[in-house]
Amino acid sequence: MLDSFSEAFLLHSRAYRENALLLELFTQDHGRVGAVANYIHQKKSPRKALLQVFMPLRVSLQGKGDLLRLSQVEAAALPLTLIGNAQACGFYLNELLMYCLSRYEPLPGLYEYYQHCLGQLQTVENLAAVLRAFELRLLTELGYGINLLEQAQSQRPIEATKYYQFLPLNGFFEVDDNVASSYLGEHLHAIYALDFSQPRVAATAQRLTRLSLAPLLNGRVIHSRKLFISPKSS
Amino acid sequence: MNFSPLIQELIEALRCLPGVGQRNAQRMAFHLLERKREHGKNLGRTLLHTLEKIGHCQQCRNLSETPLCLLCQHPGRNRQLLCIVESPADVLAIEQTGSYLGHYFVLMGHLSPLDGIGPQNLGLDSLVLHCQTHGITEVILATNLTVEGEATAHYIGHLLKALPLTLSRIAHGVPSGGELEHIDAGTLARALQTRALVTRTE
Repeated sequence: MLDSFSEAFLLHSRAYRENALLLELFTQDHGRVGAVANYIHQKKSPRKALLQVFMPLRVSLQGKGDLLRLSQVEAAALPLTLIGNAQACGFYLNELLMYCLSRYEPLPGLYEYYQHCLGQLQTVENLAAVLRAFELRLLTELGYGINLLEQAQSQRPIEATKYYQFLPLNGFFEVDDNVASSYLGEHLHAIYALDFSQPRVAATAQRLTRLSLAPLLNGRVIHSRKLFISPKSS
Repeated sequence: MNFSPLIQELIEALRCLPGVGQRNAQRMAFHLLERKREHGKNLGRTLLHTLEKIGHCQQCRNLSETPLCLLCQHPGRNRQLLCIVESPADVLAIEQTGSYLGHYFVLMGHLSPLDGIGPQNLGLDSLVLHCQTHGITEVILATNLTVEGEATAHYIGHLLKALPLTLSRIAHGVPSGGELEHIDAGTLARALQTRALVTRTE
């Protein structure tokens, strides 16, 4: 089906036969695709070295159906160096993409944002902020975006001083007072602006995205959370 | 076409092997039945016997038929040196070099969230305990140089950081007989970053 080069990142690979890999790629032009890469252990071919997660690739894929064939692969840029918790965050993004994206759903905007986030993980201090921003973008791209400015149904604006309740897949509803598990409008505005500098906003955002992602994850456990080393223990 | 139930069962059973599909399994089954009946019987016996007898070494987690594997029992090896590898095949590869005379710890995998493999699946608790109780002075992290292998090495490094021991990572760079022209950029970049000192002028 496809023959032209597309930029891609490897999400997951596993050994297949003696000399091949089964790949899950996130491509710029075609979304998530499955492909098989042959001859990965040839002496002079750097294929195995290239086919690593967090490595910006340029791939050419052939065939049709669910499993394509990787005909060519080259590096699009130098590999991203994610270390420690930044790497755990990278694995987390990959897990989200593997579980939430269906195959052959082109999401070029999300691809670019993924690339941007991986770049940010290399440098920024506040890793959680990168994850929250990515989660919100992922939800929006998949059509599950959270409206942080207007209430569901009534479409009245969300006000900074009022409290709201959140129903996944629906949205926010105003509640009379600060009841348990309600959200303060001011925090929601901060989340909209992707400003997670206040710890309470960061915690609210985490609760919100977890609730919203749950229907998409369908009960699957995210394992990369276990790789996260809490700064207190070091 | 359907074969008789027993043959069908054998074909299905052979398909559990990696890389063996329907057609290959069929060929193997017929080969055993038509030409190599004795070999087949022997294979069956050995398979059963092996599966029953082989477990994991209590110390290094490698596959072993005794509670402590032969390498862990060996009196001539350096007990204070521990090399952490991902699989039994890696132990074999290092042993073939003949240049390492310490002990091993076999993780039987690497951290891979998408395969559901976390720290608890790799026996890391017993690794820390082992380092504490056996007076290990140096740990060599010899996991693969893949992203997952690096993640594993980093995680173990963090676990062992507080212990009084030297922690090292196997070197990586240009392979023997390698020509720079044919080496991927990532490997070459790391080879330059971790270059070895030849001489220094004061």
